[in-house]
Amino acid sequence: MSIKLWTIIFVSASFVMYLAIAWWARVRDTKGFYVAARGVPSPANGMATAADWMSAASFLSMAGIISTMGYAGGVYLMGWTGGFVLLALGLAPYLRKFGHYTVPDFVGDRYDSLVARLVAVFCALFISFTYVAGQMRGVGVVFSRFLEVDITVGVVIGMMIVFIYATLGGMKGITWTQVAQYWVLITAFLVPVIAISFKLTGVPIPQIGLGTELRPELVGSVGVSFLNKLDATLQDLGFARYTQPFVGAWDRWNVFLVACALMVGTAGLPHVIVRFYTVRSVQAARWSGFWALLFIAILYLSAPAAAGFARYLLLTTLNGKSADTLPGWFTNWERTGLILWLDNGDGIVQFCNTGNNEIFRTGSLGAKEIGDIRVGHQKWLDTAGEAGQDGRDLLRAQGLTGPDSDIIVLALPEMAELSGWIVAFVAAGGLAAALSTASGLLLVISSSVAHDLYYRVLNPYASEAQRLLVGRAAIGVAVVIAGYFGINPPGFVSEVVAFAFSLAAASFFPAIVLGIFCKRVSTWPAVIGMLTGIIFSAGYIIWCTNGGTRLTFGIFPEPVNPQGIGTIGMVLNFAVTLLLTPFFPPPREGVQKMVDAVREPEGASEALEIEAAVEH
Amino acid sequence: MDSGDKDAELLVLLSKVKRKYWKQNLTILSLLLIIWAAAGFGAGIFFSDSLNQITLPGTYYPLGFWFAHQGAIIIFLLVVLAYCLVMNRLDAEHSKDLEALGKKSQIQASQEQQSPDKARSGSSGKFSSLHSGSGQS
Repeated sequence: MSIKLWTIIFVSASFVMYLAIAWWARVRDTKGFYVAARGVPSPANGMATAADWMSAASFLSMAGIISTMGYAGGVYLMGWTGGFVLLALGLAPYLRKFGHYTVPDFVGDRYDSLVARLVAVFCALFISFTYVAGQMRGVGVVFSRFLEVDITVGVVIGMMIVFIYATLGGMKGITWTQVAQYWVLITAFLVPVIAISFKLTGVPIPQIGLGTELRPELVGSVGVSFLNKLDATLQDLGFARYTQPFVGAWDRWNVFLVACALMVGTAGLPHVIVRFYTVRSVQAARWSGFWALLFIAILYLSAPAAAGFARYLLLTTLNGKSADTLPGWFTNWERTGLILWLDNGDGIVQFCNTGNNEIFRTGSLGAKEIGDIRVGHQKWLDTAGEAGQDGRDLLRAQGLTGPDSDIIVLALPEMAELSGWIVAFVAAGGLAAALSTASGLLLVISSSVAHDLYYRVLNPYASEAQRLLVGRAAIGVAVVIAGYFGINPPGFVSEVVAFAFSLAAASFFPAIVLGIFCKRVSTWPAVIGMLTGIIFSAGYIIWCTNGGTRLTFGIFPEPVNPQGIGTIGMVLNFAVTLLLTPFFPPPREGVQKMVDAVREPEGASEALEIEAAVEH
Repeated sequence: MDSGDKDAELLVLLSKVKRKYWKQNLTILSLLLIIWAAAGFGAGIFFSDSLNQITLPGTYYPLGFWFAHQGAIIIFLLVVLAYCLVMNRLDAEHSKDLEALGKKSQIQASQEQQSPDKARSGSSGKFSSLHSGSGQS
């Protein structure tokens, strides 16, 4: 059977399963749209959280990015898992005790201010939309690459599936669907990594394989460490060593700033905070936090292994090959533009970090542009440089050197020489990752609009039915907007994501932390702090995307990466808020009591209250 | 008159118990966050080049690289596990403390059995006013 047929079978089977689960959960639970499915066991809730958390980017792109970046790729590994720790320890238990489902609600009530609430709603919506658009794009990418349908068709199919189970299934439906999606995505990710680790090192556990010796029959001698071999191979080809920290712009401080911004920004992601409400008690919430991180770590500890092994295979299986001896996966993925080869005329592939490099990617160039470059390049070769144009220079000028990072995960099964149905299973895994995150986010968008904006701000007298209707409509509108951006992604996708994390880091995080741990902070210092953080971070990112040079601010040895600006924004926010606090009156008594109550563990007060009120 | 004093005494005790819990909570939190920062920012980033001079025993991993790609995540997981175990125990102790207080107030309530209804509802009203700010606005 062809890979395409297998893909159709796996993808349809998984879609049928998700819809069936949503329907099953639906018929049993018709009450309330946002009512958390309390009674979900902690491990299952942990799995759902993990699926919610791990987006299309974690599944498809992260291993590839680490593969290209080497050591510095650790910022994503540490950033996204470290953020989970902050969330589980510092925020979730208190927000849960506060008893509302959204972060803007906490910010609005704690700071007793409409401005604070609106700023928070704006940030929550911006972050969620950025994220959902990315997931929709991921769905489209998987469809177009595996089934060779148009990316638009892929996005539309994804939109319909998510819409059906997000509106009909409710929170319980989403939770159980995500449990199934976790299994699909983790199996799809692990099988190729285990296979490739075994193939290269003879150790089936990738985390151990990465730190051990290569199989003697591959390198001709015993006791060759894989990482040393990879470092040496990279150095020979003019790349930096894989394990070497702090290369070029990724100096110590930039690695720190980006890792910290990702951690703090992640801790403010609204769709994951909501997850801590779906279990019965605070004790169970803590356990489900642990289970979630465990299930996340299974993927996050395997991704760096996949990254290292794939980097080695990319270099060794391409370099020195000719058109006839190139591996099969190369030709398969060349069609999608993830990788392309522009020869210098000798018929031998050269993949290196010097001017001789011949491996590129299509990036966002259209078929026609690439066609023109190829024609010009051929002409340039045929006329020995008299006419035409060296396509390598053109692509290098566009920053399209090297293969697309997505190819690492997508082509890994083929690199490991696994059979076609596993390749197809990876497609189903990528879709599971994208759909699970998208559905969680859509629910957050819907509650932000229906609860924080419509009910709390626009129409406080709205009935339950009206709010439900607004919530459903919000999901519909959100799906359409997300789908639109999935089909027509803004040209600066990575900047938008950096924007989302930095906004969360510079706005929410200090406001929530001070809201819980510092009773004295009142409305105005917090609002001014948030605005300072947002304006500063947004300003720097907009400055950098519009061609401004990166700045060192006179403090840092290297210019600051815009992805890390959220860290500085956060520090500014904290500083401004705390400096202004003594000049403003403390919050009113009701708010202080609320903070006291949030600090008490759940359940304890109620027990005492009942005891105290007993009628004898 | 007498019951008012006892109520005040109970309130002091209650806020003491609550403050103790919050203080212990903060100690645990800061300890765990120090470990978190030491693993991620310390070993994984700021000291990674010095740690890279040695390898993780039994493997070929340069230690700094291992922390950035594997070790930090493993330690994060252990931090969350420790948080679960310690906090769930602390919560249990705290609710025991509160229960003891609750029993005390019950005894008082039964001592006040003879006093008019007004006094009783007054005292329980004061007590529950403590919890009125539970955030369910």
